[in-house]
Amino acid sequence: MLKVILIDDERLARSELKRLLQEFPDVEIIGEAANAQEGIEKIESLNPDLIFLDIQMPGKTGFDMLTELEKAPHVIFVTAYDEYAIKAFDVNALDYLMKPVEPKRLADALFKVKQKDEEEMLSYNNRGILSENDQVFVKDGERCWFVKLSDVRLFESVGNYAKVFFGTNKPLILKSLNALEERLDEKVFFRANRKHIINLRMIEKIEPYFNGGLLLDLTGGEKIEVSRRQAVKFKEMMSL
Amino acid sequence: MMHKTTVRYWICQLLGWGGWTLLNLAFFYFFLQDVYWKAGERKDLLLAILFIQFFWYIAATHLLRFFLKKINWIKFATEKVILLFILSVLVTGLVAYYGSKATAVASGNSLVEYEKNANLKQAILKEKALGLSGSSYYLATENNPKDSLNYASVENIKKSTGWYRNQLGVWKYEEQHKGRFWWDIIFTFILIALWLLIYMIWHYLERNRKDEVDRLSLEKTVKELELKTIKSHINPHFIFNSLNSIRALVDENPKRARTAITELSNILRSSLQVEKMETVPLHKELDIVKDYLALEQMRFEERLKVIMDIDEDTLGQQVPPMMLQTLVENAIKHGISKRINGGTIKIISRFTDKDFELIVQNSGNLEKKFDEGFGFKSTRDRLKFLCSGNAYFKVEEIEGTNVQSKIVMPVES
Repeated sequence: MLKVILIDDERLARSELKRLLQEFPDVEIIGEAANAQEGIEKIESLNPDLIFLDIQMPGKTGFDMLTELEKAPHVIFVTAYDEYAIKAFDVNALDYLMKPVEPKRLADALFKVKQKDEEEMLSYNNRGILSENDQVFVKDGERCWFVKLSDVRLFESVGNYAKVFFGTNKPLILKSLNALEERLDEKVFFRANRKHIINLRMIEKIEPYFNGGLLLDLTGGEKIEVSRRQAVKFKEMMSL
Repeated sequence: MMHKTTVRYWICQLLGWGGWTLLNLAFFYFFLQDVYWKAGERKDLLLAILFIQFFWYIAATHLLRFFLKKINWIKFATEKVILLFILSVLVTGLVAYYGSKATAVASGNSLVEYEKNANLKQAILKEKALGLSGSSYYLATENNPKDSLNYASVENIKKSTGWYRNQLGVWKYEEQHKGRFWWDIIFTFILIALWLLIYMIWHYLERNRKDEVDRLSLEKTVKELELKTIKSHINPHFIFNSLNSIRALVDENPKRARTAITELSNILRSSLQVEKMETVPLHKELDIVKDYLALEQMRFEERLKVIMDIDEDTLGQQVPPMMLQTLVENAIKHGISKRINGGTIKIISRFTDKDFELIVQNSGNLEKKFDEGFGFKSTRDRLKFLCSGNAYFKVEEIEGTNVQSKIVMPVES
């Protein structure tokens, strides 16, 4: 069963989508929201597998809403003609449907979601710790990504923001490093120093550093210093 | 029927060279009247020669024009034009000079020949006066050393008339004022150069003017095209959203769905029809706006309220098509659709003392870094274009709770 939330500011648009989804017995609509704020509340309380999301909404856009989520569920964007959004979709290979929605395309999109679900065997643990299979939505200017946490090499603190290193990109997200540390799986992500959280699976080389610290080479070429206090913890973890 | 420019060219040719000939006549009449005017024969010759020159100047320059037109000189580079200029002046000058000279001689109208003959008579008279006629003073140089009286006489006669007797006693002529030839031919060159200068400058100016006209007409075409795109511009986002709502209504409220389809058809149809018109009466524009707002109310439901405050007298007022529509669309896009609880749109149409005012108000605030989008910019451009600067358009925040866009147009009497 796929638990679904519909987020669109137009009641008629939601009711049309509801009617279309009635054809799919394995889809259960567990909630509806008319704007981004309601959307966030519903997602966090109901923890859906999938959301249908409109882009143009009063207050915040669909993209803005996603960046505020701790972790992003599967998302199918639903929009009327919107050149700007369509460009973003095509560049980032996001799933999207055009209003009025064609039933065939809706079926395809749902099928893709289920497939992805099985591949990753996602365990939707309730809130709490983010697993490395969870994805976050990241937006940097006009570009946006769904990033799987296992693909992230490094989080770097920049004031109130954190810079996320993955692939060749390093966009900013509005989250403090301390908040991130609390939510990340400590078996995978390690607080190397005041400014950095690293992905332990992305370490290429470990060198001793002065003052009893360590210097880590990451796969992306970044060199991260581990403070003396954290180095002790690091060695403990590694020796296990 | 000759081409207009050809007629103008011939008028210029005749006036130019005719004027020059008259100037010459005046010169001879006022300054050399004694020499050229009193004696009947000289006067006739002078008139003839001026006429022949007039004819040859026109012929030579016309030939030059023919040639220049053929090679399409106006497209040449500057250096090439300068070279062409010099060459043209030389060749045309020579043609004009020798042409008129040959014609004058051939027709027995050569003033130079006449002067030569007159001088010969003078020389014979002079010979007589010096008591040399009959003697063979002009013979063998050893009897006539350079300082002899005989030689001096020969030189004397030659100097004043150009004529002298050779060893055989035959009268010979030698031009005594060599500078005159050069002066004449250079003068011809200057005249031709002047002509060519005027000709070329004229054509350069003409070309610039033509370029300017071309540029202006291009600008006008571009503007018309822009108008067209504005007119046919109905936001596709709106169309698809409306279709989506209609689809939802088909089950929920079939009656409303049917009206909605009619409303959408009206909008699409009028956006296609309107392209042929520069202005439409306000009531026609209002019909579209009402349909548009009805569709948006279907989408936004209780989030959109509409107030119409239309003075009935203004219904016949001519307005640019789709302009009010654009403003209402903007008011919804930037105002209502961004507010979670929606808001009100108010449309006011009224006359003031001498103006017609069309106002659209919507709940909301002007965005902080308010950037005029295509809609506002094109509205302003269209007003400027249609009312030639007498109309204006303003967007402002009023009472801190509403945004107002206002069009003011002068009332045509």
